[in-house]
Amino acid sequence: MGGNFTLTENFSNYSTTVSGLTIPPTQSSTQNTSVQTLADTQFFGTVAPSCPGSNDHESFNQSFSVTVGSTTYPLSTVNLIQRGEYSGTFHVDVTVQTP
Amino acid sequence: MRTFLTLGFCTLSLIGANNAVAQATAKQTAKAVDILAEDVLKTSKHPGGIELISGCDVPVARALPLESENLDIALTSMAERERHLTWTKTGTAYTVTIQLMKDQGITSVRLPALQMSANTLPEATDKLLQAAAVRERIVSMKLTELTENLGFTSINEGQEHNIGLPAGTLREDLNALATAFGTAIWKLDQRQCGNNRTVRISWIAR
Repeated sequence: MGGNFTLTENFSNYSTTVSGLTIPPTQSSTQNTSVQTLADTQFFGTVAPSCPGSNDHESFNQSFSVTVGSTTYPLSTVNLIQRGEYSGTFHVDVTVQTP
Repeated sequence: MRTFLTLGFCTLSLIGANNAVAQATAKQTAKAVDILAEDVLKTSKHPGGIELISGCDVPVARALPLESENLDIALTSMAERERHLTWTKTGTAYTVTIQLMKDQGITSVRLPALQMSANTLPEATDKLLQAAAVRERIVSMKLTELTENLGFTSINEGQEHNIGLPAGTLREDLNALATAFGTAIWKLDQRQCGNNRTVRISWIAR
């Protein structure tokens, strides 16, 4: 997509095994996919030197909207993201719920 | 999709995948005060940040901000309605503070002058958060630090930024980063809910 646009991520259906963790805030970023790849970095962790505890993980739905000029277009894609330590195994899974 | 380990964190990561502040006047809103402040600041396309220091819950805003193309006017109208909200402007950067608890925000920590180079906002922020004074404040306030969801890398990131930060507060440094990377917006979410005392700094616009 040429030209600058704003991509907004929204999160919902949050759950976690970690006390105190909360749903990530809505985030927006300026993009121009004719110039650079759209790269989403998903992350679960703690600040060094501590590490995630046993079975610490979270899951949530990720949905998107794109704003070009003053018009916002909701995207149909919904991802389920599950990330963290699951019974001793670290992984991040992104499952497309709605294409 | 590619997976990588981010330095500086013990973490698991995955790479995949101008002033118009148009708001309705004095209508009731179901949005929390901090979310409404986010909307106003994001729409303005100014760099800056939002500090939320709260208990378990954040109250719903009494009303939408006054319709104005001027961010100063919009924020002033919010501050008049929401007694916990204050705002300041330094250069082009705006800081909105929502103080629902008496706790001091960690953004008031004073840091020495620092020269840094960073490609992304999380990388630059990590360098600030590793400062001894920040670590000491987090420990002394018995805060658990929640790491941010890194999110999408914006067009303003990915190339090296050399940033000189004079001695000042963490708040001033974050605003300097927000300005250096375009019109980014950070958010401090510092809460005490029951026995949980948490703090998270996120980049909500970049």
